[in-house]
Amino acid sequence: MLLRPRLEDHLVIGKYTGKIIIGVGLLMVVPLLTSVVLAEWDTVLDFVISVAACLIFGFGTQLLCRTERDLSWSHGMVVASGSWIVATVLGALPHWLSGHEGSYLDAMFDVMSGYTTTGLYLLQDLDHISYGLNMWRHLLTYAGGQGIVVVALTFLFKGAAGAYTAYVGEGKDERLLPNVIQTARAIWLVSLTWLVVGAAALTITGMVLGQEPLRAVLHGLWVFMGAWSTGGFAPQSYNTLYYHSLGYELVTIVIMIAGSFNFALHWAVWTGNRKELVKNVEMISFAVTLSLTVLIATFALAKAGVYPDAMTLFRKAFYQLASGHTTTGFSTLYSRAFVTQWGPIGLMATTIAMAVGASACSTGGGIKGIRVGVISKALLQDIRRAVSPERAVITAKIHHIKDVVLGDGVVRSAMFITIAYLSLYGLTAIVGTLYGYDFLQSAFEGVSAASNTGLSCGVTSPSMPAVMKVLYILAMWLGRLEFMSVFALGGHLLSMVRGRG
Amino acid sequence: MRAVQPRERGLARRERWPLYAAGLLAETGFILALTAIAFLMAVVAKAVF
Amino acid sequence: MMSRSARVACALAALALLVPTTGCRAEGTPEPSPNDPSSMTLVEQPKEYDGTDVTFIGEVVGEAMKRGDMAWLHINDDPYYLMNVEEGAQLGGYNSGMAVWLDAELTEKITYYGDYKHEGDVVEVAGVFNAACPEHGGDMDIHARSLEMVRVGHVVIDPVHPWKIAWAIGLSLVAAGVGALTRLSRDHPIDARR
Repeated sequence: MLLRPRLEDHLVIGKYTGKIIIGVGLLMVVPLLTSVVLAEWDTVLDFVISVAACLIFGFGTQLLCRTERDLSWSHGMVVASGSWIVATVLGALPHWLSGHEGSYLDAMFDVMSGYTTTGLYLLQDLDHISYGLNMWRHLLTYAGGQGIVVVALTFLFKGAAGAYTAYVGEGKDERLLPNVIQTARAIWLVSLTWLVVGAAALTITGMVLGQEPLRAVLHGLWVFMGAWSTGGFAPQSYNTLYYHSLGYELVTIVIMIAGSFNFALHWAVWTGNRKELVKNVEMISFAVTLSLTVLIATFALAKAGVYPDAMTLFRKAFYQLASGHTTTGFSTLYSRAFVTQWGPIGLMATTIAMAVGASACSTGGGIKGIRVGVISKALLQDIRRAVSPERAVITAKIHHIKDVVLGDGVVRSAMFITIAYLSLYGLTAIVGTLYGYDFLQSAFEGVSAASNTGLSCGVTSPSMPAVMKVLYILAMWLGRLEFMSVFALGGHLLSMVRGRG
Repeated sequence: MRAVQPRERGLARRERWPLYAAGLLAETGFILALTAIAFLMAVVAKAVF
Repeated sequence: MMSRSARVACALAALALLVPTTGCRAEGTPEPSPNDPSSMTLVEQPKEYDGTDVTFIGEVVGEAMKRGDMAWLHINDDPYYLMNVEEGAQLGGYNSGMAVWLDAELTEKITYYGDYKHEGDVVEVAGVFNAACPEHGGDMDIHARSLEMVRVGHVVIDPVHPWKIAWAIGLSLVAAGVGALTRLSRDHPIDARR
């Protein structure tokens, strides 16, 4: 029985969505200041307009949605998914005002891609955009990777009960520490430490490679953000191919794989439990699936004779597969080269890696290592049950920070979400094929969007049909939020129309 | 609006940083190990084909 | 009979459908590539051109990255190689170009590199195209032996549009107003139960 939401429910949702949008507006001050410092005056205006729009929405909702009620469980879910939509509509203003987007839809595509740390984009003439807009693009992936809600939790929510569900609604459900505010702080500590170390490493490498200081610093910061958030936006149209350097590739590989780790794992390893790296189900799952997909791609490429020696073969195969598996989306290949040089087996191996994805409670997307681990173990458990004597009691456990018994409930929810991802992957592949794209390429691109990877084999383009742009936006959104909070939003909307009360 | 103050909760206490650094290095080591495995695969693949 | 909420929802949905169709930029005729093979052709048919001699014309973007005696350049032959979007170039898709490895000395000829505030020099390079360069980790590149200037670049001024100034001022005032009202209402709370 669906109950129609009361006015109070809308007020609470409105109020907290508004707070998140105020946060988005404040985030825009960073690119605004960047443009001021670098004297990019038209861009400054773009950001003034956009900041003002966010603040009008944010403060407006605080005025209109006056309530003392707190966020409840169901509210939190709706706020998490709903705020991402509003943030996408408003966050697209700077992109569209820059003149580099073919339509407002294209601008929203880029912003949803940023927040969801996907990395596909429709922006045109990237090599000529302002430093301010580039700052905004990369900050979007950083904020999205950390979680817009996590950002809000840090600054704006003041310990509301529903804060936890909003956090869960964004696909993070690990409690690193006893309360959710402390958990958010631990996440920031790990993230900011990696930011300092990683950005410094990239800046120094950039300078050694011949970049001038200002560009080295900005590129270092931006490429760090793209890597850590497993986003995949890069400051030039050549993506990370631009740097032509094994050193740069290695540093970005370390950062992107680290960024794909579960924050709970980071916290365990950082507080003394370093063995967790080899005992954790997600780490084992990742090592296995990464190695398998790399193996397939490496042997296929070697057989086809695409690369002349082991070093070049390793550099190309591993980089693209690591980027895909962590759902980053950095590439040292031109997009179309996936088709013209790699061919079907390479495309397939990469697609599978993207589909499996990163660890849970991280900046990454895809089905996630924990579900692959749970389902594999559950399958083994069932096989053992089938071949064992009737009276034998077979229990399976997985190790994720602690030993966890594999109960039916855990397995069921893992399977449900996995099926949801596979369905979304299938839908995007089929729609692409219906529009005339090659099936394998549609599957690659669709999985890339839905797993928030961002590798492209050339399907994504400003001239792509509008229906596919909308589909990819929805796929990126659903994939990043792991379905549940979007279902909650859908349920909320449905109950407004069909509910009793 | 409260700024992030991990120090308040003691998370960013000075004594904890060696532990954090060891953690970061352990993660980097794990990742480089996976990288080395991938390199070996390329060497073998090129030897086979 | 639809409830008030449902009618509001429908109105919002209708509005939402309007948004994507607004702000579409008129399609003109984007500038074609001056090259044959163009960068896109090289990417589409790498094996066919691998190891062959090519000439490549385009705008240098970003910077020259000097590494010892040699340097990297990125040369774009896309619709923006003569004019960038800020100057009014028609949108014509993504950037496209090739990475070029050449003597660092040759890069001394370059004055402007393409970015937000500059349209880069248009140069012509000649050299060997590699589909998967063994020297450079399998990158697609051109090892150029010569670089000639075709057209010197220029500084680009992104014009400050008056309508943007108007909107910026207007919206800022509204935002400040709403912000002040929010502050006031917080100090004088009204009973939320209507």
